[in-house]
Amino acid sequence: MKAFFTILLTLILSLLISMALAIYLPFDQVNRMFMAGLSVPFLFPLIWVFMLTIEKQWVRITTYAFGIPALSTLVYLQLSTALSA
Amino acid sequence: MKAIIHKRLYNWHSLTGLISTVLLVALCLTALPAIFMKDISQWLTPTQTITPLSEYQSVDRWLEQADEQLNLAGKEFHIRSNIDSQPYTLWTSQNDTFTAFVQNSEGMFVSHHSASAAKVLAEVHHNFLLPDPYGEYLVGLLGLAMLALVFMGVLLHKKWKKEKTQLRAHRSRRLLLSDLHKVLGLWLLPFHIFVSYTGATLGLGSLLLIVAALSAFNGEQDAAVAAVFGEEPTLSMQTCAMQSPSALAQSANQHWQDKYGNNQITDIEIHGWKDCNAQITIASAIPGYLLNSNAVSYSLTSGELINEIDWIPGGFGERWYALLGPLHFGTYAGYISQWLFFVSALLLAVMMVSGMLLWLNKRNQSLEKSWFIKTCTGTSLGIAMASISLLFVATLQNLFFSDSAFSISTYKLTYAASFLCTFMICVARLKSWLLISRLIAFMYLLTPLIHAYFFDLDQSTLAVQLTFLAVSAVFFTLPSLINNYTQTNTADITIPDENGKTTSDSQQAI
Repeated sequence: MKAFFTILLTLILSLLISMALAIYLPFDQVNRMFMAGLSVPFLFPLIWVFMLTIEKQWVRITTYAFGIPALSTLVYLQLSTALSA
Repeated sequence: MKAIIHKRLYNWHSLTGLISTVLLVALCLTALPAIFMKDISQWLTPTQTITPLSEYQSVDRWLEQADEQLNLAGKEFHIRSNIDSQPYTLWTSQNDTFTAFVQNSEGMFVSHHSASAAKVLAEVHHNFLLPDPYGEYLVGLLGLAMLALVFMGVLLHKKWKKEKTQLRAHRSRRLLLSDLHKVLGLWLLPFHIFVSYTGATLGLGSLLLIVAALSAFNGEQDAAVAAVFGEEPTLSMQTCAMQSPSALAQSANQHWQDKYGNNQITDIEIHGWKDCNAQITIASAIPGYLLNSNAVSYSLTSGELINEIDWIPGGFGERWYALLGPLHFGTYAGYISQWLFFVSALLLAVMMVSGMLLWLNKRNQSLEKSWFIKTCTGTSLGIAMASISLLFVATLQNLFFSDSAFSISTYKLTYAASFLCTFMICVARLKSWLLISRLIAFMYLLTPLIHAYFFDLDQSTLAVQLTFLAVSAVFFTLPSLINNYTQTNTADITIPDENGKTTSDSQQAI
């Protein structure tokens, strides 16, 4: 169960990181779409393995607990601004 | 690296391998015929029964005859001629089921058994013949698992300078397996990363489209696809006169000629033939670029250019996407890259099996009772048996039923039935693998012999014939090789090292 949640959280984190990278880097609409979609399959296993190399559990929990809401806000803010413009 | 992290990585590496290895081995083995799909299709095509056409200029007359016999009005279909001087193949699509047709020497359009059979071989690798999109998702998830295994393996083995050429064949079985696993993992590392990443991306494409559309098109997936590939035509259900597809193919040819100097048409796709909104998309490979084929779409009623897909001047993301196909299929350097991929896929399967044997060895499990050995043997022999059974059936069809129509489902059924039979026999009684191996060897010998007796041989078909004979030789000698190996003394021996300290092979293998 713990492993399942870890993988699920890592998936969410990698999705948000790939979207944030695509949105905040200077790409046009089509390239942003490709960047967001294509970086997920690389980032997900990479971040998961990286998380396994962190020794302290509290560091991992903090990364998920702060990383996911912060990235969600960043992505939401940029997308809502772009959509309303 | 601290011991606790090393242990955690090692445990996850073992667990991920344990869950995915059998399916990953299946994926590697199904890739072997898929790499040479075009050659196998050509090998199976009895050339004396089909009218060869060399230029796309003649496609109009050919299409007119196909329409008279197959009633193509309003349908979506592809016209392909992958190799110069080969006949065109017409692929019709209905409910996601493709059927291939060719014109025989009497002008009749008949089922193209060989193209359909070769497509099934490629489809097994694409989705394990499971219903889409679940089959594709499973293959994509396996790609992710393999990429994770690669990353963990890189972190686990930091002594790569020492281990890169270390293969201690005469010590113990465990040490040999360990060295083999590390050496293959290290030397094939770029191949592992490219193939697993591109496989995961291609398999999970429809899920990734959701993320892609969310980040740029307000979540509208149709708009995201249309921005790259153009709008799908909406059929008007009214009949109109069509422009000449040959002339439009010539225009496409001239279009890329003016831009890049050279090109080769790889595919013509027609949506809604004879409909007032009919559209033709012509894909062309541009030599010298490691990218997907470019394409142009024209209206079939007015001949007007509707859309252009040109990956060459595209941005970073577009080029990244256009690289996926060539990197995964290994078609960029012709036969050299195809053979490299063939050997690498085979070695990848060996590496995975060596990893699992190491895991079994560590747990002192009996090989004969191990579920892994049973399922892995069943899967490997099942794939070999199913592939040759399919080719054998297609060869017999070309001989005795060349004018009969066969659905692609027939080939899928043949493949699935022969795989499941072999798999179940191996799982139920592992010792039967010796007999099955010899039967497979016999089939790989018989099929090219029948082919050589009845059909003409040319340079490309000769290469496929020789490959089949080599596979036959491997399956004939495999039982005795493995028996000899397992009967040799594989006891764990203790050997003093350079400093005079004694370390057992089991300890060294970790």
